[in-house]
Formats: sequence, C-alpha cells, structure tokens
Amino acid sequence: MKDYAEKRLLIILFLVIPSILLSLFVVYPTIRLLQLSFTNWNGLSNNMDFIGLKNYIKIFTDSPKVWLSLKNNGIYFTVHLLAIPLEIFIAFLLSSKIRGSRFFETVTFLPYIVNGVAISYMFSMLYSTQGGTINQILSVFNIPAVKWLSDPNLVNFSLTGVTLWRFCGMHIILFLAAIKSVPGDILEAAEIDGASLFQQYIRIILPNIRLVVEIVLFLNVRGALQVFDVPFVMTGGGPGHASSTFTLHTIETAFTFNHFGLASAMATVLMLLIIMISYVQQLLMGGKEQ
Amino acid sequence: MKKLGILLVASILVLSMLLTGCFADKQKPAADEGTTGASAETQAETEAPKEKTTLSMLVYEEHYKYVTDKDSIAEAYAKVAPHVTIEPQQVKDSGQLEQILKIRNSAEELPDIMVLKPFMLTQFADSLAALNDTNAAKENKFANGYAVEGKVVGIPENAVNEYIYYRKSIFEEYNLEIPTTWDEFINAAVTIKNGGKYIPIGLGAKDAWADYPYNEFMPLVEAKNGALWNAMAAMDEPFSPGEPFYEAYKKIQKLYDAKVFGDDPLGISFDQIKVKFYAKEVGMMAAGQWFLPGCSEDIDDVNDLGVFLLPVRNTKDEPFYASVMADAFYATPDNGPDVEEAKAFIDWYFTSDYYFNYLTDQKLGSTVEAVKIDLPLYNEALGRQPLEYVLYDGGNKDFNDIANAIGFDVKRMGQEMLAGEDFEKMMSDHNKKWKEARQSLGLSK
Repeated sequence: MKDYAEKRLLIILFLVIPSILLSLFVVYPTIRLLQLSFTNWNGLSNNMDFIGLKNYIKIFTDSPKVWLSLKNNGIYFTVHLLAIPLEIFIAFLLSSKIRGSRFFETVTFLPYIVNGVAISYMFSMLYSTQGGTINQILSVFNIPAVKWLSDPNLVNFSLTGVTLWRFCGMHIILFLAAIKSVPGDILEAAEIDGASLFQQYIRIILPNIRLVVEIVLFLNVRGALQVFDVPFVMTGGGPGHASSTFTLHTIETAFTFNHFGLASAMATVLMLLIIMISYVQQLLMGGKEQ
Repeated sequence: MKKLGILLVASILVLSMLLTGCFADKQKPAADEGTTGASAETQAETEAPKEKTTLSMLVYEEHYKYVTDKDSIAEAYAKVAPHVTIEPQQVKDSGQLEQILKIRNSAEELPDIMVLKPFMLTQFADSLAALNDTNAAKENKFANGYAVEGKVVGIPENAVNEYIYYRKSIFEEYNLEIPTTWDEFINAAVTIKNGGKYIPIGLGAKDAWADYPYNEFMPLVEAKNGALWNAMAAMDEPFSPGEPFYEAYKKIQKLYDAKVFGDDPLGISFDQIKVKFYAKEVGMMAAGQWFLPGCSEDIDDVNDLGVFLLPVRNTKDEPFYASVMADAFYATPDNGPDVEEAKAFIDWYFTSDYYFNYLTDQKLGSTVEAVKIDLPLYNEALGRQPLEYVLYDGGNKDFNDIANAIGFDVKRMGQEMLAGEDFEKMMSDHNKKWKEARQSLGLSK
C-alpha cells in the first residue's frame, strides 16, 4: 500500500511539474502570441485594439519584404535538402571499417557544438574582401576577390555555406547512428551476392533509415525557416534587405518599426508553415514507401 | 519514502526558485526596488536620514568606458549624494539601445537614467518623466526645443556637428583644396581614387548605420530645414523630383556612383575602415564629433588630421548650411522607483565639473549656456565660412507613424543605393507607400 502511494505520488510529481513548467513557458506565451497577433499593439503603448485578421491579411497581400525573406529562407532549405543524400553517403562511408573513422566522426561533429556567433565571426573573416582566406586562395589562381557578403546575388549562398558547414556534422552523426542499427548480416549477404557499395547504399541503407531521414527533414524545415544567428551576425540582413530572413524581418517589424501585433502574426505564420511543410514532407515520404 | 521526500523537497525548491525568478521583481514593493546590498535590518538600525538608492544608468560602450574606467561617475556622485549608488550599464549602438529600451519598457523596467537619441524622444515620451522643472532643463540651450507637446522628456548632453575628417598629407600629396561645394567634394575623392594609393572615403557600410552622415543628415541640410521629417509627414509624395529628399538623394547617388569608397564598401564594417583611416590608408571619413577621441588616441601624427564641414551646396554663391544635432538626451522613466533622485542626479550632472571634464575629454560641444568647451580643431572648420545651421529634429508622431507603417529606413536605403538598386524606382516606390500610409493613418486631407 505504501509502495503504491509512493509510486502514485511519484507519477503525479513527474506529471505536474513538467506540466506547470510547460504551461508557464510554452503554452501561456503561445496563447499570448496568438492573442497579440489579432491586435495593433505597438510595443510601447498600454493600449491595443483588436483588429481581427488584418495583420494576417497584410502579411499575405501587402508585405513584399516578407516574401523576399521567405525566398531567402528557401535558399537555405533547398541547399540543405540537396545536401542530405551526400550526408547519408558520408555517414555510410564512416560506418564502414575504415582506418580512423572515429577521428573523422569527431571532426565531423565538432562544428555543431561550436557557438553559432563564434562560427559567424570566423566565417566573416574567411569571406572578407580585405585579406580574407578564401579570396587569398583565389588570388593564387589569379581570380579577383569575390564579394561574398556584399553582393546581393551571392550573399545568401555564402551564408547558407556557413549553416551547411555547421549542421552537416550533426545530420551525419544521426544518419551514422541509424546506419549502424541496420543489421550487419543483411549487408554481409548483399556483399556475398556481389552488391556494390553504391547498390548497398541505395537498396539497403536508404530504405532502412527512413525514420531518421524524416527527422532530419523536419530539422531542415525548422532550421531553414528559423535561421537567425548567422545572417544577424554576418550581415545584419544586408546589404539593404538582401539577406534578411523571416525571423530577422519579424524582429525588425517588432523592434524597429513598433508593429508587435504584426510581428506576432508573422511568428504564428512561421509556426504554421513549419507544421505544414513537415506534414507534406511526411506524406511524400510515406507515399514513396507505399 | 526517504527518497520520495528528498525528491519532493527538491522539486518544490526548483519550482519555487523558478517562480521566484519570474515574479519576485513584480511582487516587491516599489520603494524597496532601489535598495542596495545592505539589509533591511541594518538600515532600520542606522536610521539613515535618506534611504539608500541605486540608480541604473544605461549608456553607450565608449561612454561606459569613460564613466567606469576613466572617471568613475559613481564615485563622483557619491561625494554629493552618498546615499545614491550609480550603476552604469552599457549597450553597443543606437539600434541595440532602441531594442533594449522597448523590451524593458514593456516589462516596466526602464533604467533609471538613460541616454537617448533624438528620434527616441517621441517614441518613449509617454513613459518618461517630465523634466521641465529641473534646473538642468532651464539652463539647457536645446531642451525646450526638443520638448514633446510641451513636455521636456530628455535633456541633451551635447551638441554636435557632422564633419569630414581628412588626412592633410594626402590632400597635400594631390594638391587638393578643402572642398566647399558638393561637386568639389566628389572631385577631390575622385582625384584620390585616380592616384590609386588610398581609399578616397571610408564608409564601413556593412554596418547600415555608418552611412548616416549622408543618408540621414543630407536631406535636412538640402532642405535647409531641421524639421524636414515633419514637413514630409504632411506631404503625399515627398520623394518626387524637386523635393529636398529627392534632390539630396540624387547627390548622394552621384557620390556612390563615383565608386570612391574602395572596392567593397558594403563588405567592410565601420570599425574595420576606421582602423584603415588611422593607418592612413583612407583619405576622408564622414562622422560626428564622437569620432575624434578615437582618432586622437590611435593616429600617430594628430597634426595630420583635419576636419571640414560636409559641403552640400551646389555653388559657392549659396549660403553654407550645416547640421547641428543635440544628442545624448538624459531621461528618466516616470514610473521609476525614485524619480526625484534621478532628477536630482540629472540636475547635478549638468552643473558639475564632471560634465565639463567629460565634454572636454570627448571633444563635444556643450548644451549648457554657462559651460564653454574649447575645441580648436572644430573652430578652425567652423570659422572657414559664414554658416547657417539646421537643428536636427528626430521627427514628430505623424512622421514616426508613417515611417513605421512603411518600414522607412534611410540607412538601409543607403546600403541599397550602394548595392546598385534602381534609384528612380526606389523613389517612386517610396512615394506610393508613403501616400498609402498617410491615407490608412488618416493623415491625408
């Protein structure tokens, strides 16, 4: 009886405490965010008016910078998406018994644990037109200095390169863990049957790590749509608004132009976009399997 | 059961810590918020005539270094008011200051003393205490001119001009005279560019704010009206040819098109280009008086440094107009824990030797009638020709409402102009958005 009460209390505690914390720090702010998104609050005044769906209508019909930002987010999303097959292949190579694979695993994962701001500063120096390492290397081949961060047509790709370098390692480690969970005897049998490394990759590895691929795809959608620290530190969204992302634009809307209501609506739209795209991706993945 | 007890206690502790962190400040009585480390009991025992108070003071990075390292403002004020502790806090730039103040304002946690830019006065006017009755306001040359609907919400610490800082030896090398018209200015820069040795003008436009001497101040000088923003707020299409904003930006575009800012002005930050100017790799730089202390410390031969006013006029026959901006407005929130102590501090500051020493060290002009700062380098530049001044006005409520509605940001516009954006399209787009915003805000007649 005593044990039962103890168990019961333990369960209640484990449920109640996280629930309280979740309500305080997630549920309440989300409800407040939704509430603000229907107002014209300027962030300074004590008063705010309920304006219905006006903020949402403005986002979709009268905010060219929102679309420009989303287009930039699209670049991050697409480049990272295209990199996924390569990441899986690298993970597959690392999973095979090659000399020093543990060392390469560590090196691959390192960028992920380095602080994003530090990475941004480091790449700012690498990309610099004033003696930056990359342009120095190009100059050896008589290639003129490239304006990696100040050319509006190039800046988003330069920034995507930084995020790719940062997050690739984490994806590879996730894929590696999944590949290692594939039973060795299947691969052994395939090898005996004469399957090449590439055939093993396509026919055995890929179908068996579908769940992890789905997770990485979700992380990609979330990461690409919420990318903030790298463009914020390296370009501040510039030149002009050329490298502004959805999150940067939301912050600018709230804190520079005092539209907290509109910014709240943008944050809500971002949340819905992530859910929607992830759902579509999941459908596509499921459909492929069937 | 013992294990469960420990778990229960630990859980309660964690929760109470979290909840205390969230709500403690709100539950504290207002009078207690300002007390220092001394415990309540100690205070009760000593029965001090005045309750100990801490006033937080939010200033820029450079200012922070001065008030903490060079000449401690806390120590200076402690001699006058021992019961008050001044606690300086720092921000990097005006953008960060604006963001921090908005966040702290929404939490009703504004610093007790804050140093604002002119354009922030209208934004925060409702949250700031009226300083009309302070001696500091009465003796200030500009305070009443920046009052918001009659309420003095901030007292400017200094009045600054915008200058072009230049290296005399580079000008001598290319036989350049100090330019007195806009075309002469561009020609001087082009001459340095053609020499191929130096970057003619340093800009550092990777930081959007760095183009402000051109993109923010020139329209006002062109208009010969410091309150141009307010005038624009009353117009439907202020970006049309013939209007001061358009004409000023046309001139700026001509300067940007001359490619006199080095190979990659958008790829270099202000701090990077500043170092190049110190190292004599750059011929000229546009900046306010705040730029001089750094130059004095880091340039080997200070005598090689000269200044002149940005010549915006078209011909030598026109009067020479220059902008003046009262800056660094000392303000205090009206719901602060001790508004009267904050006002007393502001009163002390503007009449103290500390104020005089600070302005002298930072080479800034005084805003107080009785305080005269001798600035020989600037006096030389100001004495070259008869001058007409335009006093920078940060913009009234109508202007701020329109600017916020359309995301009007002159510094970003400068970056876009440098990046090669179509100038005419930029102006016509702004006209369209401006007109629509005026209509939606009910400002059109």
